[in-house]
Amino acid sequence: MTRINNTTSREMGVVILALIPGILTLSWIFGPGVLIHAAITVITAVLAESLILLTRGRSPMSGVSGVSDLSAILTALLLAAALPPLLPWWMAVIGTLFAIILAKQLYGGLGQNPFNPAMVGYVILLISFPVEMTSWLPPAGLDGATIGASSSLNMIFGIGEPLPLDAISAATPLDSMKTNLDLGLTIRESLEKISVGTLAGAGWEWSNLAFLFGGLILLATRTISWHIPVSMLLALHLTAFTFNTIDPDNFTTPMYHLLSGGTMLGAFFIATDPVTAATSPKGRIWFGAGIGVLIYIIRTWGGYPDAIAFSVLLMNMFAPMIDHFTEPTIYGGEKKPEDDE
Amino acid sequence: MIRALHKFHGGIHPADNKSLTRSEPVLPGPVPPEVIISLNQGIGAVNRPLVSVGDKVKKGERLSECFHPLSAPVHAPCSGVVTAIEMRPFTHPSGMDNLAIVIKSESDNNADPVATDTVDLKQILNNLSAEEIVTRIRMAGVIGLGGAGFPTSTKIRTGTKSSIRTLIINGMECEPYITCDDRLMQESADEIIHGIEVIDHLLQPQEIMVGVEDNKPEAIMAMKTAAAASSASIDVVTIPTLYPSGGEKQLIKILTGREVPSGGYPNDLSVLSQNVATAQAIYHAILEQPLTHRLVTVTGNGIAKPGNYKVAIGTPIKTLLDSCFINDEPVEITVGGPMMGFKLQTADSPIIKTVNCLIVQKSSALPTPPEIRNCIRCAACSDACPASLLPQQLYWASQSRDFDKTGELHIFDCIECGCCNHVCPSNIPLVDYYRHAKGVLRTQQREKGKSEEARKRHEFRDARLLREKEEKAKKLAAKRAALKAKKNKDSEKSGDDSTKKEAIRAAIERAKAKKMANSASAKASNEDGADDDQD
Repeated sequence: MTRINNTTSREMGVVILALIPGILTLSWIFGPGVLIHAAITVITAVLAESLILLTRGRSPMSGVSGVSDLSAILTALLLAAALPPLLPWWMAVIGTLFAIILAKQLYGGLGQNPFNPAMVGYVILLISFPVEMTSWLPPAGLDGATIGASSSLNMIFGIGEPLPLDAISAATPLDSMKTNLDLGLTIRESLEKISVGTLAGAGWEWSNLAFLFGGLILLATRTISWHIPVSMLLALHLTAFTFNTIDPDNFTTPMYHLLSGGTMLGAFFIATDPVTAATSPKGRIWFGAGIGVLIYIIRTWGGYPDAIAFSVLLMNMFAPMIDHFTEPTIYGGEKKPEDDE
Repeated sequence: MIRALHKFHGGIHPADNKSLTRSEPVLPGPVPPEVIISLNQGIGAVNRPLVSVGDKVKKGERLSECFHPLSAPVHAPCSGVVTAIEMRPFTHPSGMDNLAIVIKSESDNNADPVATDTVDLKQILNNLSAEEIVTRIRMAGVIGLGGAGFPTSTKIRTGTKSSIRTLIINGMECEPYITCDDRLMQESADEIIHGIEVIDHLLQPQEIMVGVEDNKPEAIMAMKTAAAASSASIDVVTIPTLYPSGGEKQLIKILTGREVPSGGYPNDLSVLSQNVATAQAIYHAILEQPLTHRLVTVTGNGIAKPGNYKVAIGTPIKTLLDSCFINDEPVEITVGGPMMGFKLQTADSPIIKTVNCLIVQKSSALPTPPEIRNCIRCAACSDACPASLLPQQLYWASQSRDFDKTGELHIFDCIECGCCNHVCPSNIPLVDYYRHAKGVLRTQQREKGKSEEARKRHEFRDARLLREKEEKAKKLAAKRAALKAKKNKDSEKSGDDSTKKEAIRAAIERAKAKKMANSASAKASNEDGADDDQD
């Protein structure tokens, strides 16, 4: 039997490599906290996965089901990329534990989980620690006021004299925009108040472009198919475009939505997780489009500033149904409808 | 003429490995000291032998007869003596035994008799009725040589009935390693074309197409040249290489743009397809040369002399491999191509009509089987599936033994081409799961059919018993009524029955008197036994 030289762990490896530009950009803009969190979540994920595999009577080092398939590391990095840079370490640990143990291993490990593990971890943290989870840093890398490695470590691990978090943290542009809109300001007034970049929220546009770059690598190496990212971004763009055209004072531009928050990370790295997405080509398009529309709805009318995690998890629920209704017509299937009887 | 080609879904580009043998001209295979002619060459019922142990047989002699439409007779590939008719290993994935005629061959130096260039095919065909032509094909034991082994005469016969519009000749040979059809087209294009002319004569299709993959330019040239010389209008179509373009359904889609209905046959589309080697065998059959030899590609790194051989059907695989200088080290032998073939259980089994390739690989050079990981639902398999199935869903269903679900997911439309296996990043042997599920479903259907039949029989029996009972009752009632009627009539006829009654009374009285007399005499007999006879 011939096979192509491709393995699950290799695919995971490619995704991890494609994540690197985005994570580095995040740490350039928001300080080394991102990298520290990556280390925390990866170590926690590997330990948690090994522990569960041992209790399930499997060797964590075995090639078949062990951590060598790299999926736990990928989950950990995705979570780290979504966490605020100065989040206390134990929150990151809790998020990772929930992601690996509750969302993945309790369902039977890789391939069996209905929900995206990283997003489950993120949502649990967001609901449990809403203040900490929405305290981002201003894009320091841009105006030079960087938070150094040692103060990041101090903040994350709570060592020594902590910096006053309230003083240095800031809401994300998406968050501020939402608050301002709720206060009755128009988009233009709001944009004057918050720091904006060339295309969208300051700093965020660059991290989004970096994740877009990684995503293009995934497309070029055929690690992911175009269906989910394209349909998701298109649906988000079209929805935003429609409302922005109708009422530009109260609805932000499509570009603002595409390059803010975790849009690109979500489109190329999170929504495309094959385990939890729809599988048929048509199904993937519906799945992606659903996420895109939900992101817009939750960002605009929901209670949270960003919506990648909720949208992805909601669509995860619909994935089996989408697959059921988008079953492709088989070869020779159209001509004989009586076969279905 | 440039023909618009159509695309089927999916497909893959496996490493083709044809360079090992593609430039090797066809060589005669070994002369085996013993041939094993299995009485079943693939599908259908086992043949009934026409010879018995000790018989001398001549080359080309028919050895068996069969009445099942899915089987075809077998012939002696050489002269010799029948030494046994017994169970011998069969060339089958299971390694099972099958009834076979064993012939100890005797050397005969007779060259093949007919010199083909003196033959006027047209005249032969005109002198034969359609039924006679089909009978010749059947009696020559021609079956589909592309791998399925479906008897050609049966296939053509269904064609004659439903009027074939399109005749497709399959020279695709899309599986890696195999080159025997390629060589056949290069070396015997005219015979293939003659075979096509025979089918053309029988079925009068509106168009005839020969599909050849573009990785065989020499074969395409040879076929085009031969087709140009033919009286029939035959279109040799070059088709881009993509596995499994040579699958019957896929080739029909490529050439006609139409799909064989699920559960149907090509003749539902008025299409008949034949393999190039089968076409040649049809031509030989018309010349009354039975199918006793076929081309086999012997290849792989475990063989010192890879090549294409014209092998006597029945040659033990061991004999063939020895003649190709098989290495001494342990090898693994695959029968057929690497995508759809199967691992040979024993080299004692013979070459049968459907074997087109033997791949001999050194066990030491084989890659260690990759570790099977969890399915991550990446859908690479559904992107590759030429039947547009959902292989990962089929896998989930068969893994959880939900075989009804696999049926709903159209598992019987799976052609087992192995594309999903090839692309799976988790190295899951998907086709093995599907074969198992198909087996279970077939058994279930058979059982269901049986119990359904038993139920019907039982209900019929109950109904019959009830009916019989009713009929009996009716009959009885009728009889009773008739008797009563008769009785009434009789009594009416006799007027009054006083005489009868009197007679009865008299009879009763007589009996009573006799009884009393008897008991009296019994008492008396104690004294005098002689009284007994008094009456």
